[in-house]
Amino acid sequence: MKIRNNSRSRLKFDELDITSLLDILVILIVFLLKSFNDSDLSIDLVNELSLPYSMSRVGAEDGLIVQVNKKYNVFINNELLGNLKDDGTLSQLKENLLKYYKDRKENSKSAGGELVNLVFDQDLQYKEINEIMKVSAASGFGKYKLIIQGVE
Amino acid sequence: MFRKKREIPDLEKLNLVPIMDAVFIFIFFLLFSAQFIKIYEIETNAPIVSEVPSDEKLEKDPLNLVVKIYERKLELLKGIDQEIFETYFTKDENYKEELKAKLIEVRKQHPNDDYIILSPISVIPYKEIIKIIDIAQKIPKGEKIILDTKRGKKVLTKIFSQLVLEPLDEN
Repeated sequence: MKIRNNSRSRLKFDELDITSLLDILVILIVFLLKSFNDSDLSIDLVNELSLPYSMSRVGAEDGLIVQVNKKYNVFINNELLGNLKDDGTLSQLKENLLKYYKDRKENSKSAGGELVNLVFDQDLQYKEINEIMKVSAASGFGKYKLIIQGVE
Repeated sequence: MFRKKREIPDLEKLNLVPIMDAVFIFIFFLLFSAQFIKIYEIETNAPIVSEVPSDEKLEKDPLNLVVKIYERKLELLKGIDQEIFETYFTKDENYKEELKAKLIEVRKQHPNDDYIILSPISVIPYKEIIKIIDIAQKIPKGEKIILDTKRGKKVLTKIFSQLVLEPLDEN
């Protein structure tokens, strides 16, 4: 009878050297700590929207988010409302803003009731952003926060 | 005489498993909270029709600073009569530095007036308005502006912290 030579059991592994793995992890942690976001507000930017650059270093606060992209599409909290050039979009926006304003005011726990975060594409003209601001003011939002991108 | 050799005890190998677990959890936490675009805000106010109560006396010489933004030039206006006291042309290379210096000078002359009204024409791109806002607010690096206000000395963090955007009457 052939005796099976169980060579596997005799194999000895050297201990794994994890120094290089630890080096990578430390670098990754430093990189991630650098890009750590401590702001109250997190925005999922809609397509075709590039933010203007600014030197401002004021952290964004949580609140209602209105976005208008390059193609004049208007979004409230990432939900498409319509196109700024179409009739009825502004009245629809006003309706929605009034509803949000009322809800936020009633809910005393939520801060920033009168605050609206405006996220505009950098190439929009003042007449377009003014339309949104006018509607926001008419809906009770007296303060606008213009969301910008920090310059490195 | 021979010195007795000190015996070094064998150190046990460090168990790195728990620390590795913690590091991995930390990495996931950081990955989820990472934002690769640095987002900040600029606070602006809706244009005010009247904030001064009718029975309150107006200041003798309110600043009432307005920056009218046209395609090729900027005008600075002040006072109740809104007289133009400075004009800058955007084709000039140093207009931004000159404008900032002027705004700092005006702010120092009026320590109690913290409002600036930006009044762009309808075709001005949003990014240009943001640039003017930066000029009107950002204090140059290394400069410290201390004002004597009614409430004592104040170190400014912004040249003008109260910003109002108002459409320009183009007619």
